[in-house]
Formats: sequence, structure tokens, C-alpha cells
Amino acid sequence: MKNRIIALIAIIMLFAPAACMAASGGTGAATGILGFAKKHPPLDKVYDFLRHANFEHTKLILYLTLLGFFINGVTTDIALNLRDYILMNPSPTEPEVLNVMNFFISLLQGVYVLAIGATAFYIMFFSISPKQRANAKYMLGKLIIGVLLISISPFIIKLLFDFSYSMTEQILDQTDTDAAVEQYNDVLWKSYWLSVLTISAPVILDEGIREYAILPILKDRRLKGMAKARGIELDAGWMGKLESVVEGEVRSSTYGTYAGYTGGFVREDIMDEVEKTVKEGTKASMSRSKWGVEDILHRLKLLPKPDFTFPFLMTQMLFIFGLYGMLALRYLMMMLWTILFPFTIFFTTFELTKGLGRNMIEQTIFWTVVQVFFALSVATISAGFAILPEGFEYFSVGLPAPFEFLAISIFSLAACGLLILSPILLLILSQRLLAP
Amino acid sequence: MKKRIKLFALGTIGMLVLLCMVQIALAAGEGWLTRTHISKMSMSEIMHFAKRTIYAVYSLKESREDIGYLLANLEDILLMNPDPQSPDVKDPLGFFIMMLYPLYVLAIALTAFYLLLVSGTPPGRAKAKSLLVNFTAGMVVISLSPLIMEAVIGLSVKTTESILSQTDVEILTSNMAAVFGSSEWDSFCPLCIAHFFLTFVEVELGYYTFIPFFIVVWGALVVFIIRFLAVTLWIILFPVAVFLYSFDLTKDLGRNMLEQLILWTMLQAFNASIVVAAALCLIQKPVGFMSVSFQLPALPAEAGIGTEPTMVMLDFIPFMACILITLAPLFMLRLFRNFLP
Repeated sequence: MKNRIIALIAIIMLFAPAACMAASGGTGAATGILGFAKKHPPLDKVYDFLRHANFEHTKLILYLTLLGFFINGVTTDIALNLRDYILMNPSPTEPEVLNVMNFFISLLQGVYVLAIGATAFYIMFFSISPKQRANAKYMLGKLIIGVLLISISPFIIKLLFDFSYSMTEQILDQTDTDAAVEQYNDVLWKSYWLSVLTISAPVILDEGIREYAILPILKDRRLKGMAKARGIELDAGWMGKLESVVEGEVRSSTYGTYAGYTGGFVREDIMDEVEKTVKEGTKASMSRSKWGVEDILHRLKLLPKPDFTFPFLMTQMLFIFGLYGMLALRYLMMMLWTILFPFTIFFTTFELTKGLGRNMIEQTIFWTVVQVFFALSVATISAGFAILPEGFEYFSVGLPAPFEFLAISIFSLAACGLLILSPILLLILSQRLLAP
Repeated sequence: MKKRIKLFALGTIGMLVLLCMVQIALAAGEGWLTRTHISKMSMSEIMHFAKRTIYAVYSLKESREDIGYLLANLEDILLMNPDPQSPDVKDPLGFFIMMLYPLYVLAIALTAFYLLLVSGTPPGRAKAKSLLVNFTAGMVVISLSPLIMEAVIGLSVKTTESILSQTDVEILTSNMAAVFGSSEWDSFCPLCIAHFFLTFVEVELGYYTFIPFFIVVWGALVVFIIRFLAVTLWIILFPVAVFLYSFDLTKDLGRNMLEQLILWTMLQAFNASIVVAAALCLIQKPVGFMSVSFQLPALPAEAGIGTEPTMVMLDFIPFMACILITLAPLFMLRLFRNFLP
């Protein structure tokens, strides 16, 4: 039910302004169904709010707000639960897992009994060389040990998990996990606020728009030609007065493209405002009241272009999916190797499948030890920041004033990378873990 | 509910069209029909939304249908195998068998000739005798290839069925349906809503939110199909693998081919183990474990473990299970190579 309501609200928010925009006939127009609203204050504020450019800004603000809620959810979850996520192990002695393992154990016990019977028969009734007899007796011993081991395999693997759990817990108790969590959350939040910052590049883009979008129109001879076609004469005196008119129309352009031209000619809606300004003899207020959302955003110089947020969004998603993915993968793999542990022992027993069994044991040990390695990574990050020289913890790629507080420290980035890559580092270190 | 949502969508689109028509009519009344920029702008806005709506709706529709199919038929897809007795497999298999018979006969004849007529060293004669046994056994094995393959496939199917019977696969499929949505339109998942909304913010964002659906459908589903094709290929090449395994010179190649056959066949059981492990994880894990959700500020912070989250965006356990199924072939081929003598 909740989802349906959210879906309905989203659809209304997305479509209603567009429908009203279609009714109002585009930027600056005063006809259509909302023309009445435009001409009758205070309903003109409703008209201003529903202008197309506001729609683009509104979408962007909604996107950033929801992204902020999402980042808040992730950072809260990590702050409260990272320790538990690292320590969480599947329990082999729980009924659901035990039932699965007992099924496999009962299957393999049958195979073992068959193999023991065949080996005993071979030893007792076949005339073989002493070396073959010794090999057969050795095999018999392995088979008996194997059947005993698979019978208690849930408890063996529980022992392994408990050992890993206690080691991890002791490592985490020695260190302050909050330091590592703080660095991780810092990266997420700062990249989020940098996304917000990119849509409000105040000086450079503003100057860029003025230089590349507005002034060329004013200096364009075609403007004079097009104005003449409409029966108005533009002299040099008008250029200063028209700058704000042209600027307003360019900034509220379709989908934030800031293009003053279409098809090689100055946009018709810009020409409409120019004509209106000249004929009315007044500086147009850009058909906008002071309280329109667009005016406020225009004064704050916000751009309705989410493209600039993508690099930061990708960083955030990489770190979120990386950390959660690795933790979830570890839990899943530990469960997988738990239920396959009887087969691991079985394959190790026979010469033919010994290589297979050894690989499975390596994987079981590897994914169990990943837990300890995670704890070590957290401890390393905490200890590393504690002993960093003064000022180094904020070493970062510089941002101009007054935004240097948003700079993401290189050490924070490295900390996030270490948390995510620690299983892979362990994988590289543990190549050919067991003796051949 | 499905009908209501369809009606609502149609109503909204109808309202848009009606408003545009009214606008054009009013514009015509004021003499602006010659100024076509208004109708163009309305049309361009309609196209702007129509394009994004079409992309969001159809990308979700297609992927959710495929995900719905995958979830509804997960057990059948896991148990999918080529039939070695079907003519499409048996005919190419028979072709290779027929091609190898003369080679085996030639090899047996040459070995017999060496044993009977050439005075060789005792080790050489012993090796020739073992080769003779190998060739004879090989010839018998390739003659029985279809039956052997049927036995191997049958063993894999029985193993997979017994693994899947240990737990309720519905637990995994229902969790995945909650994360990705089923094919029913009234089950909007938060991920679907995010995809729909972000497509309207910026189409590129819609491409990125489509990635989880892409991984599940074109990752997991495609891997099952690739496995089916690989098993078919190695069944057809089984006689060639046995032939190559018989000679010392080509023993490595033959062994690799036989290993590939066994690994791709047993991948079915491995996938079933992953599904069972994921289901057990979902049973055992506490509520809220590994679930990323929205957290509104100014509300009390929710403990992720043990508390039902506000709105779960993505549950990572089923998602990672799909990624693991996608990567399972690489896993098996990397870990379990060179296990044959």
C-alpha cells in the first residue's frame, strides 16, 4: 500500500507540472488555462511555481533530497551495525542448516561404508603384494577417519567459525571501530555534498553563461534583423536594458540547455520578450514574481543539470555496493561451504579427488578468515589515523575557499578502498594456501 | 489493482493530450497559430516525457517479466539439461563416433602388429599391452557414449533435485520478488520506483538504476543458458575427449575436455547449492541484516538488525546470490581444474 501511494505521488509530481506547462504554453507565455492564474495575483505565484524551469529545478532538488535520505540510511546502518555485520556467521548447528548437512552426511556415510567394505574385502580375499596391502590398510584407516569426521562435520565447522569469531571479536575490541566508520561515512556524505555543490557552481558557470550564451545574442546582428522583422528598432541604448531580459530567458531555457538559439536563429520566446520589452518601454520583469522558485534558485545560481553529480554518485555507489556486497558475499559463501563441508572431507579422502577436496578446504578456510581480515582492516584504519602526523589526515585534493571543508581526504578514500578490497588482498596472499 | 493503475496512467496521458489541445485551440483563438513555437514547445515537452515514460515503463516491464519468469521457474531452469537421446544431440555424437571407429581400429591394429611381429623391449611391450587395453576400453566407451552421457546427466539431475529438496526455494524467490518486483504491475518495489523517478530526472540515471535488473536477468538467466549450451557441446565432443585421453601425446587435451564436461555438468548441482545456501541465509539472518533502506532525518535511527526497516531499497543477500550464480562458472573452472589424473 505504501509503495502504491509513493508511486502515485511520484506520478502526480512528475506529470502535473508538465500538464500545466503544456496548458500554459511554454516559458513566459500568458495564454492557456493558467493564463487566468497568471493575470490574477496571488494565483500568479502558482503559475510561477509551475513554470517549466521550476519543474526541472524541482526534479533535481527532489532527486538530491531522496539521495540524501538514501545516504542517511546507509551511513546510519553502517554506524550502528558494521561490527555486527563483520561478526555475523552462519550457525551450522541451527536446525535448518543441520538438516541439510545431515542429509548429505547420510548419503556420504553410505558411500564410505561401501568403500570400507570393498577395501576390507580386497585386503582379506585378494593375494596382493606387501606394498599394495600396506596401501590398502592405509586407505582403510583414511576411510574410517573420514566417516568419523563427516559424522561430526557440523561441529568441526562450528569450531572453525567460533575460533574465527573470537579472534575477530578480540581484534575489534582492541580498536575503535567508530574511527573507520567515521571515515567511510565521511566519504559518502562529502561526496553527496559535493554533488549538491556541483549544481551551484556560482562564479565560473555564471560568467560562462554570460560570456557564451547571453552576450553573443546581444552582439548578434541577427537580433537586430529579427527585431526589425517584427517592426522594432534596436539601438545601442537597448542592449544594456535587454541583457537582463535575455539572461532571464536563457536561464529558464528548455531543460536547462542555456541555448539562446534554435535552428541558427535566436529563440522565438527570447524575441517575444524583447519585443514586449521594447513595445512596453519597460524592462520586463521576465514574467516572474520575486517569490517564484526559479527566482530563488536563480539567485542561488543553481543549475538543473544532474549530469554533474554522476561522478560523485558513482563513487558513492561503488563504496556502498562494494562494502555491502563483500559482507553479503562473505556470509553467503560461508553458508555455501558450510553445507558442502561433508563433501569437502569426502573428496579429501580419496587420491583421485584429493585436489578437489584441497581446493574446497582452501575456500572454506579463506572465506572464514575473511572475517578476521575485515576486522584487521578496521583496526588498521583506526590505528593508522591515530598515528598520522598532524594535518595529514586532511590531506586532500584542494577545493577553493570557502569549500575546502568538503574536500575528501585521500586517507578516507584509501580507508574505504581497504575495507572493500580486503577480501581480494587476502585472496592474492593466500594462493596455494595448503601444502600440495 | 492492475486495471486501476492502467486506467490512471491512461487518464494522466489523456489529460496531457487534452490540455495541449485546449492550449492549441486557445492559441489559435488569439491568432498565435502562425507562431508555431507554442505547439512545438508543447509537443516537445510531450515527446520529452513520452520518451522517458516509454523507456522507464518498457525497461521495467521487460526485465520484470523476465525476472518473474526466472523466479516462477527457478527449479525447472536449474534442472534444465540437454537430452543425449534426442536426434539433435545424438546425430552429431554419432558422427564423431563413426569418425573415430576407424582411427581406433587402426591404432589397435598397429599396436597388435607391434606386439606380434616386432621384437621390442619388455617395458615397451608392457606399455603396448596397456595401450591395447586402453584402446579397446576407449572403443567400448565411445560406443556407449549416449548411454554414458544419459547416466551422467541423470546423476546430475538427481543430485540437484536432492539438494533443492532440502529447503524451500520459495523463500529466495519471494525475497527476490520483493526486491525486484514480480511481473504483476501492482507490486511496485522501491527499486522500480527509484528507476521510474530517476529516469525522469535524467535518462542516464535511469540506465544506472537498470543495472541491478540487468545483472539478475542477463547475468543469472544467461548463465543457465550458457551452461545448457556448454553441456550440449561437451556431450557431442565426449567421444573425441575419450579418444584424445587414450594417447600420451594428447592426454592433457583429452583430460581438459573431460574435466570441462564434468565441471559444466556438475555446475547444476553447484548452482542448486548456491540457491539452497541463499535460502538458508535468508531464513537464518536477522530482520534488516544487509538491507539498505531510506532513512528520513529527524526520525529515530533504526537499528538495522532486528527492526523492520522503513523502506528497503535493496536486500543484498538475494542480489549477491544472483551475482554468485552469474560468476559460478568462473568459480568452478578456476577452483576445480586439473582434478583428473
